[in-house]
Amino acid sequence: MEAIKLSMTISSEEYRQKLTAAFSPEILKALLLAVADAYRTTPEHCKRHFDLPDRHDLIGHIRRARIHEGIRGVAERFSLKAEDGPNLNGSSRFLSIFSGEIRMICCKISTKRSMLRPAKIRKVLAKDNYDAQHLLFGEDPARTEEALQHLAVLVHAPKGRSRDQAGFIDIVIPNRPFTQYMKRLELFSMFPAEIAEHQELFKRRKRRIDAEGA
Amino acid sequence: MKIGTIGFVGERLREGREARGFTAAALAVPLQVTPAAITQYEKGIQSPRPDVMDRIIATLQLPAVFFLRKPERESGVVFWRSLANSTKLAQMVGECRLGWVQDITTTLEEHLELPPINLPEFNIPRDPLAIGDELIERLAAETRKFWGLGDGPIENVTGLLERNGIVLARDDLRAPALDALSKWCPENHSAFCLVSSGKESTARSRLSVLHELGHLVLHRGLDRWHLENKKLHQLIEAQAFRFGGAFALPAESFASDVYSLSLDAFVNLKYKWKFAIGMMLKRCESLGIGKEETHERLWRSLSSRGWRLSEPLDDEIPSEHPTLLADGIRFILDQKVLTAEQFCYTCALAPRDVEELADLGPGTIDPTLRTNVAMLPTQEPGAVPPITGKRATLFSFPSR
Repeated sequence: MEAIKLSMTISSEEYRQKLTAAFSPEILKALLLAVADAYRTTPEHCKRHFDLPDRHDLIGHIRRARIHEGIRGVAERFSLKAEDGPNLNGSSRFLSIFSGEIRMICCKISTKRSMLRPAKIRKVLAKDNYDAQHLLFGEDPARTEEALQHLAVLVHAPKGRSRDQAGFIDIVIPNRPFTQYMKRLELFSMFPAEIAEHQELFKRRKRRIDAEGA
Repeated sequence: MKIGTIGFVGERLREGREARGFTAAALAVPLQVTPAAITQYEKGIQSPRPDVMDRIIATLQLPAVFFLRKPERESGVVFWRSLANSTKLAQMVGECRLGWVQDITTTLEEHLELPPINLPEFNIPRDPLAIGDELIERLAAETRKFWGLGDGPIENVTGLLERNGIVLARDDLRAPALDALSKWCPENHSAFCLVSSGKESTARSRLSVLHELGHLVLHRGLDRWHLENKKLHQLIEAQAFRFGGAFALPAESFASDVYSLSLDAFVNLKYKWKFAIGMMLKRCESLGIGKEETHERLWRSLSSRGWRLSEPLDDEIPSEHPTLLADGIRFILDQKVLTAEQFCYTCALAPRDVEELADLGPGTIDPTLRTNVAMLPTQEPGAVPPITGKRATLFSFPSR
């Protein structure tokens, strides 16, 4: 396999290019809607099937499953490779989708500015996420015999205390030690009309359900 | 000399019997005659005695005039949905009631001008085998264009067909295996559809209506024998479904809306397009969106969630009711052009049947069907009324 030569650090702009080359605007929009769907539908699903207090703790788990299902559906829709795999100690499974030089997983974080937890598996997956610092310390990605595969993470979190709405849905590229994000795509800002339409649909539905309930 | 009923039309007894779902043998019992006598009445060899005639009217719940007048009804090919699993008797019920929709329309047309038929004329092969998927997709797109619909969701499918001159009625059809039927009358260019009001959700019923539109666009030129051939009939049904799907969910705009092949995404799309999730999955299959194994996974998932019987949003999509016949009748009655009795007499139908087929509320025509609801005084919570009066006595029912 042809070795990949990197003469300089990979800049933020280069990561943006890699991300947009891997994921077209249609795919990014689809990922946004799939995650937004999971946020909207999970509380309703849990309410239908579980009582409090158990319901409270379940929402996160069920939302994760629904996000995975939605993203897997996006991968199938756009003929991307999707792979389910266990973490390093086998305690849970996670979904990856692949396109171009990017492997994307998804993860809930606490706030928009929170850093991803450097879980062992993520560190392994982020081995090719070089930044300037690593090049300075003599780590040369040109030595690799394999094509680089950068880890992107679709990060999301609820909007404040409301559990049926995402506060943000972004795609980030973390550096290898998970100390900073080298690139961030803010999907809400990229597709304001689509997310507004999606929110309006659900608001109308919620109003109708509330009205019928009253 | 035998006393019969002067002017009795035997064919109408057969029609009335079939419309009520009686076999000749079953009807013979309440009429207190032999099945052979029924056959003779129907063939016009004999006419019923006055006492039998009274029992016919009472049993079939049709007015006397029904049996004395043969309406001038244009014949045409009737297209069926669910022919395979519906009984012959159920089909007859449907066909008779569709004929009654025609009679109501004819009576209305004597006093009102209904929207003229506005179906596009295409050069379609008369042989169903020559109608391919590509042609169906193109014709569905051209029909949308002809009606100026663009390529977005259709808000009200029933209203759309009515505005374009297709007379629609909803009826429970008295047979669960029947979904819908339609008829094209080539001489005066009129089209009638009867859609089941019973089991289907609005999302599914909207497809039934478009399925019938598919027949009216694609199969107007077919002969009855095409429908009697089982294999051809299956093909014709598949073509009408393909047309319905293509008309409801245009290839380009629908495909660009399918952002994920997951059931959650389809629930979201159902809210926008107002068609059943199962139908959208089928549409994805026919448009080649996703792989075969993806479709299989989604169908399995659909079944395991119990969505083949009842889907999310089924109770949230407002139902569509035809309004053309109901508005026409109300107008005629309000303007005192005819009284309710005169209207029913003219179309030779029972008030209840007119009310059901025209989707009028019960009691609009027949005052005896009006529900009288009176508000009772509400009781204070906790105030249990004292038990007064004698103790109840138990009576045992006589054994059979």
